[in-house]
Amino acid sequence: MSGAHDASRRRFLKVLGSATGALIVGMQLPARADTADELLGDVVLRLNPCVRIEPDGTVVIGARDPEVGQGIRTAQARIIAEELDADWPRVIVLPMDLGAEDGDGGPSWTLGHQEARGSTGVPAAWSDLRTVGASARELLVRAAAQRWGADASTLRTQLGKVIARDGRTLDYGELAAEASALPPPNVAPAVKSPDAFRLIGQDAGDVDARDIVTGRQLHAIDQWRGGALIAVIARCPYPGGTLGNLHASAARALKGVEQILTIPKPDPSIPLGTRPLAAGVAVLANDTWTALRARELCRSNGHPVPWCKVTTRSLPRSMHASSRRRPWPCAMMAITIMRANWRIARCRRAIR
Amino acid sequence: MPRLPQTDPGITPEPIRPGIDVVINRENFRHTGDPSMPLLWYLRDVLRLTGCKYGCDDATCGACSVLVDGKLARACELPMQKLQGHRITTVEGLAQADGSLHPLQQAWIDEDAILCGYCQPGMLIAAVDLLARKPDPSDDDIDGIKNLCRCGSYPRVRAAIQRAAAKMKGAPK
Repeated sequence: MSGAHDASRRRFLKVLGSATGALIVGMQLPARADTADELLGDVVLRLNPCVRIEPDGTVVIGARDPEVGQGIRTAQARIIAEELDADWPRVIVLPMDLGAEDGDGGPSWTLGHQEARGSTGVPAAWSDLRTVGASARELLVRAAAQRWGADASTLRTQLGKVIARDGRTLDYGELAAEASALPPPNVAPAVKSPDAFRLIGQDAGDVDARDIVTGRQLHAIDQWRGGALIAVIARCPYPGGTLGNLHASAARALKGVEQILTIPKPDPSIPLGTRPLAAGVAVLANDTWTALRARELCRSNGHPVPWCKVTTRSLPRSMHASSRRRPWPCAMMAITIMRANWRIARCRRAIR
Repeated sequence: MPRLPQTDPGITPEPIRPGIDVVINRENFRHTGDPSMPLLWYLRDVLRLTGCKYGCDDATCGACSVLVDGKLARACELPMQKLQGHRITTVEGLAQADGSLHPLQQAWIDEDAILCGYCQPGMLIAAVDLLARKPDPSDDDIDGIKNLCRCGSYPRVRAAIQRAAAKMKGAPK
């Protein structure tokens, strides 16, 4: 019950049926276009982007990109739902696991782009999601045509139903099992023209709204893997500073403190992104309160570095000093700062 | 179920551990750890009620707002030793036991006052406190809520509170 077709040059379309009669459609990167056996193991997580249509008509959409308040889980799900002609109230959005593994010379994505960065989420997913939605829709239409002995081109879809010219309807859920047994489309099916969009471009409530207002939404700080320790870091406050003698015996004596580690001064040869920010001390404890208290008890006499004299107050002083030497560029800078402050104040007034 | 005999030689009953008894969202709990632990970390690390958020650790941002005996409080600077016998409500306790939402929670969804959602549990608690004091708040009253939102959800939060206030006025007490 599976097949791979070259839907585009870069992506493979996957269609699978589950033991419970659901239709599953997803995309897969060529590097992971594996055998059906391998795919069936952990089917939903290995397919991406993916949509699953349950026999009861529920549409489960896997959200691949991380949600950080930009609403990507809602946006990406609605792109699939749009092409599928799904009934939005019957759509459930579930997060997909992070698909990253060691590749040549660094981590590589196994499920495609899974990032929140630079407004790339929707553009990177746009054609994949539309193809997946449209492919699932086409399979359901073909399943209905087979059931009715009708020509698929005479059928249309709306709100999670296939509708025949004579008014007969079949719910997507009733067609899911049959559709999963059909061979997937040989060519990527046509997607809608933008003037036919019913969901894209319309306001939509956030799919996570209920979890957020009931306190169930797990933000990064709320993630908990059983037995994990809490780590807090005290960093050297001066750029380029080093850690002096560390006095941590009081902190170590605190009940619940598991380990105290030192972080060396950043090595400039290590590339940015993997280089530690600053020399420091990390306290690992059983709970956050203990970790925070132990951090307060750590004492270290850092070595002074040239930057340690720089403070918020010393910066304007040094600017004024240099403005006497080079008045024109410094005056321009002062005007820019004044204008920025004025715009911030205006925005604050407008918002509150 | 039959009760175990008091003198079963194989079982030594665990001695009653002294602690701080609190009622959180209508349930009884006993804190047996460090009495100076702030309520915030008891909720988050011990009970895993992570709707109470860690923000500034300075009682400024309001992300950790809770109700103590119905009054607004900041959980980040409220040590457990001060809470013996008190009743605490967090965002997880706003909805009814059957899952039906508080009018403010529903208004939040209806006005889409969500964005990233990190500050919203604290905002909701502050709004519950406001409506308890002023059932018919003006915009200035709402602006008196000093909880911070870095996404800038303030206009929608204001609309949501007004919507909930209108709904609650009509509801039977």
